[in-house]
Amino acid sequence: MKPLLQVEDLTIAFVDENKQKVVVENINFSVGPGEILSIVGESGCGKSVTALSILGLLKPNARIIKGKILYQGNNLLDMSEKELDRIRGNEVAMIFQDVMNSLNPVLTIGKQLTESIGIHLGYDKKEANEYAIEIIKKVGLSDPRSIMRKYPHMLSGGMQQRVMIAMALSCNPKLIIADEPTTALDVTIQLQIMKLLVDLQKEFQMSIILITHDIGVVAELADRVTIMYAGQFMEEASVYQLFDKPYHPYTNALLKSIPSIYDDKNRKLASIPGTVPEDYSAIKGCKFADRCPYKVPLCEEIQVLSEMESDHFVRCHRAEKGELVYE
Amino acid sequence: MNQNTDASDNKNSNIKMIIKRFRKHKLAVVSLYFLVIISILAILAPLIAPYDPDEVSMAFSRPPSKEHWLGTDQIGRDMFSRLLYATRVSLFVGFAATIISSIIGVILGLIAGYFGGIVDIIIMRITDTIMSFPYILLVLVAAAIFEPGLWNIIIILGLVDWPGAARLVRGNVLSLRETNFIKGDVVAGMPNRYILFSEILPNTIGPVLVYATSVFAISILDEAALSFLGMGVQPPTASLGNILNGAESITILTGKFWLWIPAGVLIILLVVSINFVGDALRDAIDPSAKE
Repeated sequence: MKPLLQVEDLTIAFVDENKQKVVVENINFSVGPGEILSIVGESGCGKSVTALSILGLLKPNARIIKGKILYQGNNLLDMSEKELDRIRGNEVAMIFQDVMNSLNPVLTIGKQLTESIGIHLGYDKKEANEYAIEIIKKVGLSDPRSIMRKYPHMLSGGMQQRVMIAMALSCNPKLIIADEPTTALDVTIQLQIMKLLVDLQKEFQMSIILITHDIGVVAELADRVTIMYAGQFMEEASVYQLFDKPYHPYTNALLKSIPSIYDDKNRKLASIPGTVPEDYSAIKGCKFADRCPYKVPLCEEIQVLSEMESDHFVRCHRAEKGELVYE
Repeated sequence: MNQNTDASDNKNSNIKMIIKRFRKHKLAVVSLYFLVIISILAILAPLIAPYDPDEVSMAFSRPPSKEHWLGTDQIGRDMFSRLLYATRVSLFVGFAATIISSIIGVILGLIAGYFGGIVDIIIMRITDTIMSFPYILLVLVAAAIFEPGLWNIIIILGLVDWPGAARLVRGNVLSLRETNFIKGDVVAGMPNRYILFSEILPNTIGPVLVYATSVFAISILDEAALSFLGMGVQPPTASLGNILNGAESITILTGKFWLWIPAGVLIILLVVSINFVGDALRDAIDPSAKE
């Protein structure tokens, strides 16, 4: 199957004055049609930067050092703003992390929805209106006509996120990039929204890049998972492979930290000590070494991503040699 | 909110909300009534004024009386009629100058804030330059270069008042540019003119409107100052400033209060009430404010 989006050797750095700080290092991934790829990692390890780079939304101080972002074979990084606009409107949509400032506070929901429908699909006002109502129904909001006339502050967070999804869907994109779409919502709503995304993904035959720090969510939704840490992919596999047999110590630690209702009540929730290092581009060897319980001197060497099984990659020399066995 | 509200209802409820919040400011409500009444009087001046404002009569420097409610000036013109016409001119100058400066300021601010880079630098340096000149001097020089007169004073005031609005709008745009809904528009491939005028502009209207009220008040004061100095509206056309100009001498100040007190008081009242209205507007217009 030809991939819809393919990212090759993408390296992004923050440049300030003369210093260069690499935040995303040599990442490769591809998303096929109708596939859900999940990028999982802690805060501050380059997930959002990766997502923003795809759509050309990086801040001016972020530079793409090398790499290609191919959308249906065309490199997005070589495109002019005009060419990019055609892709951005019709082919790729994005759902942002912070729902609260994702909608324009002074315009009604209806106005915000219909404007982009009008521009992209060439509908007149009435058609755009009808279409917007259809989409609002699709995202599970009742009484679409009254929603259309409301201002964002009159809706709850969950409703706003549904409206955001409706906006993303409105132009029939082939790919949706969802950057932690449920972070700002409470737990019960989180699952609803995620389920909604997946249902719509099936219905509309879209691909999704789901960026999240919640590995529990991933298990239910994604087809493929990449584990990102300090700007690198540590492990990449299908969901089944990853949950069945994690290779990287970091993946293992993440999986262990998922709380389960079968756990012993008195046991403390597993956690990974420490935080993502501040300036991780300076670390030469394994970026996770500092926090890794399986650290050996060889970890100071540069680590490469190697294929363990078909389509299951890991960046750890010990896992590669089969030295790590997790219970 | 119940289900069968329709579109016009919702719009109305929004406006009602603004009115409701505005009403909480008692002073502003009084000021607004005052401004409306003065404006109506000014607009209808030709119908209301008992005399032609430029008509010279034999009654020189008469104190207020039944025939001349506010007395007459040194060459026998009716002060009440002159005051009406003067208000008309002053309000018009202030209003027109405010419109001109707001339009220039908003457009330049939007462009500078949204596109950034070299465009931003150029626009903001021009803004800084204009702001760093002593204001009244700049106006005087401009008035000296162009012929003083009604339209020239409007254009001059309009051209020196915009930097504040430009800065205000630019600041707003800078923060709006970072919000997800603007990023979302970019992602959705919306054209720049849509993003600027349909998404960003409505978000800056509130602050701009509030700022415009203060520009309005300042323009009225500036017109008065310029006309007082003889650089503004030229006699015989009456404006609040050049009525005061006629009251420069000590004898008039001490002995003929009717020649300058009404115009002076009117300027103060206009400026104060415009500012009150501006203050209340700021509170009332904020779309996210609660009741």
